[in-house]
Amino acid sequence: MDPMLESFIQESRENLEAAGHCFLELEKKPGDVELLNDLFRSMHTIKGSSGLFDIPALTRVVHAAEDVLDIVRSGGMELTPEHIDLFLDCMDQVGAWLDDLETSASLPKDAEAKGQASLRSHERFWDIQVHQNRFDL
Amino acid sequence: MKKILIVDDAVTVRMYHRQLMESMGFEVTEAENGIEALEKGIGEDFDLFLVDVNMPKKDGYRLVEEMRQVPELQAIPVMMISTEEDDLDKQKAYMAGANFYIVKPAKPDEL
Amino acid sequence: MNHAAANAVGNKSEITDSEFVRFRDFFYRKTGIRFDDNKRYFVDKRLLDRMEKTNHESFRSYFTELRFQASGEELQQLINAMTVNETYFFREEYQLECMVESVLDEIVRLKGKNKTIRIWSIPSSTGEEPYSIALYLLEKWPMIDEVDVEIISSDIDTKVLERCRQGIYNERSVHNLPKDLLNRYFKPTSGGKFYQINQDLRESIDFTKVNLADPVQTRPYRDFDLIFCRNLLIYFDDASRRQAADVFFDALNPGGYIFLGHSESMSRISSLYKVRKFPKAISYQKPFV
Repeated sequence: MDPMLESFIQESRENLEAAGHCFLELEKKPGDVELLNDLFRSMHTIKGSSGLFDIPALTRVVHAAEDVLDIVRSGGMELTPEHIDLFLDCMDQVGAWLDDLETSASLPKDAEAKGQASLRSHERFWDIQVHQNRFDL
Repeated sequence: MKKILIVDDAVTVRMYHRQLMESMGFEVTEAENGIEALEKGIGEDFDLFLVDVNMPKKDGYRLVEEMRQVPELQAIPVMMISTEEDDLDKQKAYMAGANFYIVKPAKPDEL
Repeated sequence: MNHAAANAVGNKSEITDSEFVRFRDFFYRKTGIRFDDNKRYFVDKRLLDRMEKTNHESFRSYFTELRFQASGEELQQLINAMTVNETYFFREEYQLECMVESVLDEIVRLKGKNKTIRIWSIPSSTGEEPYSIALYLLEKWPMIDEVDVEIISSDIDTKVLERCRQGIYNERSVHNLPKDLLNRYFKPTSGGKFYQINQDLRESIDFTKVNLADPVQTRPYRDFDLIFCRNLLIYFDDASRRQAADVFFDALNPGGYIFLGHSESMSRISSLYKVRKFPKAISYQKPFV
């Protein structure tokens, strides 16, 4: 296999593992800045490195997660356990795609559709939160 | 041969830039973060630093700021590299003392 | 966000229905093994056991570790716990008879005596099947002195592979084995309660780890003349069975044979193979073209 792709798969798996730990810790320490920064960086690194390969679906999903985390980090929104579940599912999708890359050096045909679905679910959470904030006012 | 220090916490991105720079005739050294970059940078005559913006332990901006305070590193050109095509980030990079700002991954013609 | 914290520490030692479904889908993707709802109790019990051993207080925390651990170590531990290993020497013996009376002779006719015959036994489980094949060759195949045979035996479970290499069996495992074979090839250990198969046999088989659902792992398995894959596909669903049939197809030489368990039928899984009816048993053959 292309050594760079191999490196990307390994590095990204490590980042997913780190992110998984951060999410669980965040449930115990909601809003912890250090954890949010680590989490953001894990996603950021996967996204940045994924840009070296022609895997737009993966890049987009990780990019969306990174964007939401950036908003959370700056205090614009809070993470609920349900939203964390959603993140974990996105990460699981990314993990599955890494498995695909390892076996066939490409993403499966349905990657684009699955990526879109995962983006939409992020948006749904975002909408709910925005509406709730409005009612709070 | 021209010498370049590549500073990035992401190993795959370092690998990519190493290949690219070597193909352009540079002799490449790598550092994983800002602290390592300062350690490796002093005492070696680098012709260029390629610095990632987002890194743990001293990010890219702070690294460049500090480089500009160190006599041995003051004059070395710095190319900042980020995943974001963002004017604010660009401004921050130049304010910190970078000479160039490009978006990741670097393409041969940009360099 | 106090309810977030509360949720995280709540539900100790309990796996909800939706968590079970998520786990089942994940495990299926990784191994090709799908658990039906009637296996729920069995699955929960093993999951809770692994949670305890790894000090996870909630399933949520355990599952996150399982899903994202870069080394995959805990997944392997769990696979070991989930796969059942129930077998004994000379089980479904009519297929072994068919091997030495019909199949091997045909393969030798085809390849010539100077070529090595390669046999793949999967899953190895604790080693009873590959050792039974080896014993049958030694005892019942007249050509064994003239033809080289290689046996490779694989399993997804790393713990059983270790037991294969040790080759120590209890009474139940050897109950179907003729006494004289037991005496000649085994030596009693631990005060006669256990039997260890002799060193020559232990060294004659290559034991390897392989996950049939992972193409990277199965790719090196090529050039086999005969495969035994008995009572494994019953644990798979249709899609995984088809995938396994493809893996075996690629692993076999043209004209090579595969034996499945008595309740399994290749015709229901894949149309790639030709059914061959021998006097003692049915086997499936990879066509020549």
